[in-house]
Amino acid sequence: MAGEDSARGNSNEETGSNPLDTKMNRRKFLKASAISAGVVGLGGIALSSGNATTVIETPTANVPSTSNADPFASQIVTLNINGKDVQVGVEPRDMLNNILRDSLGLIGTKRPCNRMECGGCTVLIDDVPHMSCTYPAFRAVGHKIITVEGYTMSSPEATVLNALQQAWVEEDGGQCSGCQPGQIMSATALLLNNQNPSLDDIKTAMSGNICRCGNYAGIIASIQTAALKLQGGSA
Amino acid sequence: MDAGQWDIIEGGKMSSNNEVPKYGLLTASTPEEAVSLLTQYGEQARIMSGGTDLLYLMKNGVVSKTPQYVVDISGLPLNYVNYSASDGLRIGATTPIATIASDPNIAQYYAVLSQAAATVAAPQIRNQGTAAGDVIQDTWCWYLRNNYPCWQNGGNVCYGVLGDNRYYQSIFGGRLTFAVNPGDTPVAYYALDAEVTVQGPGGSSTMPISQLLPGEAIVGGIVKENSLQHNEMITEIHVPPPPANSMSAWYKVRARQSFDFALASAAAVLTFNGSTISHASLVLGGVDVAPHRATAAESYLVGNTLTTTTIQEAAAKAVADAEPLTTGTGNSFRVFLAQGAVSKALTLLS
Ligand SMILES: Cc1cc2nc3c(=O)[nH]c(=O)nc-3n(C[C@H](O)[C@H](O)[C@H](O)COP(=O)(O)OP(=O)(O)OC[C@H]3O[C@@H](n4cnc5c(N)ncnc54)[C@H](O)[C@@H]3O)c2cc1C
Ligand code: FES
Ligand code: FES
Repeated sequence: MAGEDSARGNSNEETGSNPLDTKMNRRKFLKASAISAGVVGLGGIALSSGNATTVIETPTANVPSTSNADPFASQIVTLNINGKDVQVGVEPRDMLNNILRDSLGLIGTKRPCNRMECGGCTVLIDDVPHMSCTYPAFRAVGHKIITVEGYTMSSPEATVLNALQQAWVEEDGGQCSGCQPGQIMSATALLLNNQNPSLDDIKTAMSGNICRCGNYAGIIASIQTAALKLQGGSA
Repeated sequence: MDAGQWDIIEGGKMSSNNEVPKYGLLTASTPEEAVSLLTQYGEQARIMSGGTDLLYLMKNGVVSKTPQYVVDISGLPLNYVNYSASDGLRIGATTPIATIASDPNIAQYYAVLSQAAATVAAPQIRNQGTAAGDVIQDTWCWYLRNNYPCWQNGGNVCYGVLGDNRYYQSIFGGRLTFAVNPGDTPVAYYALDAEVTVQGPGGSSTMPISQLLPGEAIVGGIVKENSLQHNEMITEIHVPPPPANSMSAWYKVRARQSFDFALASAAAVLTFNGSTISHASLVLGGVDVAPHRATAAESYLVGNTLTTTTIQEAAAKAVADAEPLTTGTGNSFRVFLAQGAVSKALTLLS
């Protein structure tokens, strides 16, 4: 069990050299992307350093051509992440989180528990919060994926993300911050639908995100401050 | 053994990093196609709806619950909620639990179901988990989830009986397996006398939810909590129209207010004639191998009005026949929680 499984996930073990190999690990990915300006730009971190060469803008929606003839096959699919289409190899067992972090280097999204028990891996799929650690990547094809790196887009989601990130700084929303990308994504979904949330609305919307540091008061204050910024249009 | 790999106490063995093992993906676009794939691939294949339970079991490496092939039904056109006064409520199998929790007709006519759905797990899990998945999910008994070879995992013992049975074992007895049925919405469906439509190789048929969840079923030599054959799938859940002058309520006791299963829950549907109860449906959840109908309390309530005294009496009757485990850790504390859940649910209706 060790050999095969530990080559994935958090391990740094080098895996195959096929660039479409979805198990390409982060270290190797960063090496590759340093040469090609990298998909990291997709999330904004390196956006100013030029166009990300591995991002392919395809106007046609790519529907997974799942063939029951070869059920184990990896496929190249197009995922729409933070407003950009990107092609990536996906095998059935790949969860969206593995693809975001390990194949695409979008490490803003965390994977604290990897079993739906913390919410730290939350991303938006069509603006609805999902736990990316246990969301099959192939299902994300044809849907709009927004991660915490999405703040560089020009979109309603980015407006909310910017207000939240600013408020998070002002209100000390984070302590160790391991949970924060997930918290911010759940808060983004809330504020997209409801710019004047009550305390109960906030608690309900955030009830799928656990903060090991227990910084709930700071998180709630941050969301309230972000809501005020959005209402005042000062985000 | 790798340094990075951890080993759970003897018996259980979990995957070290919670990664999903390799599986073959089979995609169905109609219920008939799903059933024929399940028939073709046999016991090696299992349905995946939202995947929150199935992928979790696979991540934990629970051997008898880890299929080689997954039949993905998420693309089937079964994401719908239809309500009409004459036909009642029809919920498609792949409808997200979050939709059940937010649907205005369900909130108005089936409050107990709306509220039960809203207390399932956490928001993200409700967005992904589906109507049929919440009914068919496996028990969350820690022994099964840690891959102990129990009755439900290819073995012939229920570890919970002799071990830690505080949270996930029945307080109303059991036969082979004592693990409770974990779902919240099935408790509401029981109280609402729902029936499910099942697609099988021979076509489509309906059965009452009580027949689907009998508590313990031996299907193809495997001990399970539901009576489905491996190549049958649920396509729809149907709830009859609510009786005139009826009201319903839900109360769930849990250790944390989110992310947590019921330590005990109660679903109550009462029909009134004036202030007198003319029909009572009272079902406990999280305390038995299936949702548990409290028949003695139901018959006591009929003909009575809801007062502090009758509520307390009904709650006492609901747990009078409890047989909490006294072996292992014991779980008698949940008898009091169940009693409390009944009295809270009835109080909401008074
Ligand atoms: C941290 C955590 C907390 C949770 N807390 C709660 C809680 O408080 N209350 C609660 O009720 N649940 C709780 N759950 C369980 C959760 O609600 C279920 O995992 C979810 O409802 C399953 O739905 P799904 O569509 O994802 O099912 P899947 O994982 O896709 O399937 C589950 C099972 O049902 C079978 N199945 C699915 N659809 C069909 C169908 N149409 N016909 C036949 N078989 C089918 C699958 O083969 C599988 O065996 C929790 C889960 C987690 C991870
Ligand atoms: S990493 Fe996904 S819920 Fe914890
Ligand atoms: S800030 Fe540390 S876990 Fe939330």
